[in-house]
Amino acid sequence: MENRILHSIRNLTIGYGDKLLCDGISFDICEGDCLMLCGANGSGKTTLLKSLAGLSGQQVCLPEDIVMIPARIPKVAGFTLREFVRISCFSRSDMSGRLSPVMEAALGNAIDALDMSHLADRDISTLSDGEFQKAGLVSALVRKASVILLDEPTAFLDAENRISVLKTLREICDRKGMAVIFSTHDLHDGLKVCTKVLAFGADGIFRCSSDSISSMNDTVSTIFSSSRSAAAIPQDLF
Amino acid sequence: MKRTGHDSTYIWGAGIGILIMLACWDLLHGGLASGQVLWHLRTPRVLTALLAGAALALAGTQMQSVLRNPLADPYIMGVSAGASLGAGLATMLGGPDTSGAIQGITIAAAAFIGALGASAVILLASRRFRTASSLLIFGVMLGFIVNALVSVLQFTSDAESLKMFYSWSAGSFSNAGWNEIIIMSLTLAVGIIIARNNSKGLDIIMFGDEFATMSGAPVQKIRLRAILGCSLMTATVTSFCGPLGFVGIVAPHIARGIFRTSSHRTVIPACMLTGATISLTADLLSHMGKNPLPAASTMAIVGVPVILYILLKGRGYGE
Repeated sequence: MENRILHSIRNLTIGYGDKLLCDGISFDICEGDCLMLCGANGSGKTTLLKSLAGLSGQQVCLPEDIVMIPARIPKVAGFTLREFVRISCFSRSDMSGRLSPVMEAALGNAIDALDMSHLADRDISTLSDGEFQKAGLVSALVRKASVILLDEPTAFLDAENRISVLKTLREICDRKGMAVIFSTHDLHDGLKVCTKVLAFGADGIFRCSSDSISSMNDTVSTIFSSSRSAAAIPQDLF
Repeated sequence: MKRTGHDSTYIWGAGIGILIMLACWDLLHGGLASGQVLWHLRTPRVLTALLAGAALALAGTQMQSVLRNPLADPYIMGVSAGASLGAGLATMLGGPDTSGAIQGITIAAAAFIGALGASAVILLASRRFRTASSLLIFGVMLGFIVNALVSVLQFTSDAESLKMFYSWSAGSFSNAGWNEIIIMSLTLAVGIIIARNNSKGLDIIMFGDEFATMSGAPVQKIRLRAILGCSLMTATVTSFCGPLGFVGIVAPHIARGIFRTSSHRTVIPACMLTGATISLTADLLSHMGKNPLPAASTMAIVGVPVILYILLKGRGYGE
């Protein structure tokens, strides 16, 4: 049985300024989806995520249930993890930045759910990059996102943190009514946790795989230019 | 480790205690004096130092947060350069004919107009420049251009006007009377209200424009409010006391370090305490010798070791 569709993207065009990056983008975001978004640098991964998050061009129109965690948020010293999450709930806190008791409870639950309670009152500058990436996920959960978009969540992470973050992503997708889209260059690790693949092909065409392994592999291989073809992809990749 | 509520009560107590002690010392320094001297000279000077330090520190805190630069201060945006240009024009084009008192008021008014002019340029620019770093570069460039104009003015003016300009630009807390203190208090009050209402915006903007926007924060508005409050306070203080550096850079760092947080709910009041303490210390030092020294110089003498300490210590709060 197909899971409930959270968002249907139909014929989306992405680009910035006068530059068109890709058009005819269509896919469904279903409950339980963990979508890996891949493509060459500059192919439009970040731009697609931003468009989905309501940040296309100069216009800002944030959808209620989609939260995007950008790449490389600075780990500003002088804030605890709990304070960081509170600050990220900007549009839901009062003027002094305080959350309602209901939101505070949700914050506590989200921290527990991602197994971060021992880090909750640590200064974020002392967290590892992987732990801080998960703090972003806590923030998305507290903000009641049903679709979480992550821009290169595993970039610059060591192997242990990379696996830990990807595992957490997968766990989030298994929650009721949730889906995750993450962009990455770590195809090897990404394929292990994703349920479908979204790819900006080297031929400029956007493709979405089905949930079969072979379809995911075929879709990933479209991001390599034809001259190198699938033969150039390391065999152990799949 | 973060300070607990209990700890911070003690720190507040100690900080305010030190500030009051310094203020009394500064008041009584130079021996017992008549009521006249206390009321018309020393009290206004001490109050001016307190207000100027607090206002510049508050301005510096906001600049460091919205520009995400630990070395940003009210001067980095060319505001003080604008004030210098105003003061320079008033002294060097006005000529030495007018009496001292009128000169003082003219210089203050012209410096204020100059500072507001520079602020207006920055405010307009902040709507066009969409990133913190490009705005920072614009501010520094504006400062260079305006300072170059001041140099041209100095080059073409006579010795008497030059002396007058230098005595303003050396910086002093002694030139403000009760009226000026009232104006500075009101400006500081407005500055505090703007900063307090912007505090959660100042918090989130430290994590980058992108993250702030994605969290639903109006980045441009937050930056605009901070620059507006900062400009108002800097323009007022600079016009009465001359361009005073360092306190705006140093006070926020000390406040974040002592209270071990970057949260603006704490840092806003804390930096005003540290700023007032620094400028009071500078004033006290400037009156230690036989002749009063320029406050801007003693401020640098107090401020530079602290900046060096921060740099050598490595990663500071709020970075």
